[in-house]
Amino acid sequence: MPDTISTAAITFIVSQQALKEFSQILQRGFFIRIKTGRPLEEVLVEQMGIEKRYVEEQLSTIFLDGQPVDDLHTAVVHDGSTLSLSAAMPGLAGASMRRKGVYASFRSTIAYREKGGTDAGHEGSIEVKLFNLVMIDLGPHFFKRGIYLRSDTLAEFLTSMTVDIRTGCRLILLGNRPVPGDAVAGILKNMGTDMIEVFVICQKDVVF
Amino acid sequence: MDKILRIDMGAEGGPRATASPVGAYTGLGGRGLTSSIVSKEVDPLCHPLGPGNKLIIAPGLLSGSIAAMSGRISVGCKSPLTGGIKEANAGGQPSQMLARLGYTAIVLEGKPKNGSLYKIFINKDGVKISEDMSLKMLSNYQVVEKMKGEFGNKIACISIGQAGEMRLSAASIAFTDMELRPTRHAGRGGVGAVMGSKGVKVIVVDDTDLPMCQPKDPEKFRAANIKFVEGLRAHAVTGQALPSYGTNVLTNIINEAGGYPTYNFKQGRFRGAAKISGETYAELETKRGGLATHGCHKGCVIRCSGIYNDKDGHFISKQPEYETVWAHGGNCGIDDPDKIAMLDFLDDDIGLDTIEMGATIGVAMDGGLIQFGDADGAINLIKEIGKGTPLGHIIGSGAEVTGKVFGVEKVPVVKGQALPAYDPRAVQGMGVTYATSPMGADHTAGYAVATNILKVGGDVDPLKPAGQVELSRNLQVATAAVDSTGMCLFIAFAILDQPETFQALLDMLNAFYGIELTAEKVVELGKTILTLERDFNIRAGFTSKQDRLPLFFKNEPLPPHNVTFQVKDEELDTVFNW
Repeated sequence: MPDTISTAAITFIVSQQALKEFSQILQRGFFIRIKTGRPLEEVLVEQMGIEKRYVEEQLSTIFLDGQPVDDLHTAVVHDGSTLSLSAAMPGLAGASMRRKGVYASFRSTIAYREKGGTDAGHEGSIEVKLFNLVMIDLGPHFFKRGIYLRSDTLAEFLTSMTVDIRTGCRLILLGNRPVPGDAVAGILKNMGTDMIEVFVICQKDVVF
Repeated sequence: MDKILRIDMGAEGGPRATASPVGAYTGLGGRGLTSSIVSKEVDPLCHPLGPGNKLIIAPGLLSGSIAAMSGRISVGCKSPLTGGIKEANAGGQPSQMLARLGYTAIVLEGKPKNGSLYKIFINKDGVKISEDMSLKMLSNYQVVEKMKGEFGNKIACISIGQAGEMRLSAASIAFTDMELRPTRHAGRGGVGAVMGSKGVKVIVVDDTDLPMCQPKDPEKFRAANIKFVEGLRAHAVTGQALPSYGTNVLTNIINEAGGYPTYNFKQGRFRGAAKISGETYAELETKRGGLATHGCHKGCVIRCSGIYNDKDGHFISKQPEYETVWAHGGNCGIDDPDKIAMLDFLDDDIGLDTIEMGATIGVAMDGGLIQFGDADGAINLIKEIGKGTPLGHIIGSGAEVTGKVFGVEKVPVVKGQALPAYDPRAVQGMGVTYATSPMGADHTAGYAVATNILKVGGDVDPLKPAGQVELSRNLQVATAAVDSTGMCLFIAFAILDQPETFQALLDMLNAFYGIELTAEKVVELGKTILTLERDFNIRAGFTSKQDRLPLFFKNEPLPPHNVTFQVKDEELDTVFNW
């Protein structure tokens, strides 16, 4: 996570369809704060709040720092790690990336091996990427609890999807202040590479 | 399906068609049949474009029936790209129609002496072969439009574009889909060049008035098919991931693993991957009025294809496959989904293997012909092939030739065929299959088929670091067997995890033919096919030296994990020790 963290937060109250479109940004990576130096399973279930059953049954492909993980108990998430989550994937290469899959030996040279660290229990941040069905399933959960994005990354994303977001956003709040949809990308661009906390909430979950 | 249609294109007085009983080839379909005919009837030392080569087009064993996923079709010959035996396969409609017409295979033999170009029309009344020089140098989309005008909309077409007519080594054979578009291709190994050498531009198939192929035991067949479909729908890959995103769902995963060959295999990650991922394509398809979930033939329940429109809602191409998006995308440094879809369309239209083309353009970029990331430059290079320019002839001949012409050291080929979209330094077991498959570098030669269920070579410890050779061997055996059923390869994922789904497939075959196929017999069939193919290649002059990856995979570490290919040559030489 870059050093500069803005204190700003931006909240999008959106339609169901726009929420799905917002989820696309999650495949590019976002940041969250966690207690680092903890086993991966604890991070997923206790810290991120993902249901244990979902982890066991759906998150069959997990990368830590770009390396496929087999054991959620021995792999430890360190400060600055990148964690990527995916469902089961097709193809021999896709199958070989699965946790403890039949073809795991095919990628043994890149498999995750715990290197240790001194950050046990420290507050830190990690980058998270959500792919494919996981992006759709867990997107609303992460948007609701808040994620960090670089302001310029969010601005670029909004610009590329601007038509849908303008029509799909019921309300945009920068802090507590409403901002018009067509101005938000420009405001974010001016914030440069600062991180901003982002909330995206489906309008059906909000009482106006 | 009880006869083989043989067409002697070099017969005195013009091409002659003869239907004969299946005979010694009874019980074989798909790759099993094509490789058996090539092995038995083609001189391994013949020129691939000469009269001695044969082109075999074979539906699957269950094609033409109500069986789900049974519309795959195999094409076999001696390859002009590799110089060895070749089987390439495709989806689309022709497989089902040929089966209903009663043909186990079409075999094109000989060669016209006068350079004529022919169209072949097959329906319930027989086979009509006509010279038609008006088809000369038409693209696949153009020739299909012309055939629709001539024969109506209830046909399916098997055709070649300009690349096949020019007998270029990267030429494919196109099979029309449910919308009668030439989007499904037997791409690999230059099979289109062999069809071109036979002087056949298009085979038009019409199964009007013909019933579905009937099983020997309809009740058992129906029950097994229901169970088979249930298994496919219940599985996470065949029931969710593939229908939602297609095979391009792999872009993010392989990229994250650092195994996504980028800039002609220089690095394992592409910065623009998310812009061309399956997730992004699916979103664009839905927004633009295309389709993110669509079958390539009737009876497909996985529906991993789609329809990709431009921003104004006009058709560009079918949903490009993962390997296509990689080849023309990350491998060439291109991250524009519209340009990649256009490259996919041009490949289909001119009749080219998308993997070979992407790899070739990557090599050309490495040689300085155009810059990495130059999407318009890549489009122009493909168009050069369609125009038949000297540069087009070079590019259309594939990565190996292009590497030589432009003085490029790093040329990712095995047996002359370009490597697909998985870097063997990151996924080493895949490298074993690339190196040793009789087909040349081929990601489908050792697919995720139920090796542990089939017990091919016994159970393998999934976390054992060694064992890549054993697994590759087992996978190649199992895949050769499943390929010979002619079922879509993607059923492999459900079969992998669900023994009952594999049993349902066996039950369908048994009920259809009244046979007693067992898992053990499937394994034996796979070994037999591979042995035939290996033997053909040895007789064609291949040695263990052809079972190697290019040297740079051993010497140049692949970022970000900085790994090299570590499987030793001596180990590679043991892959086919049964």
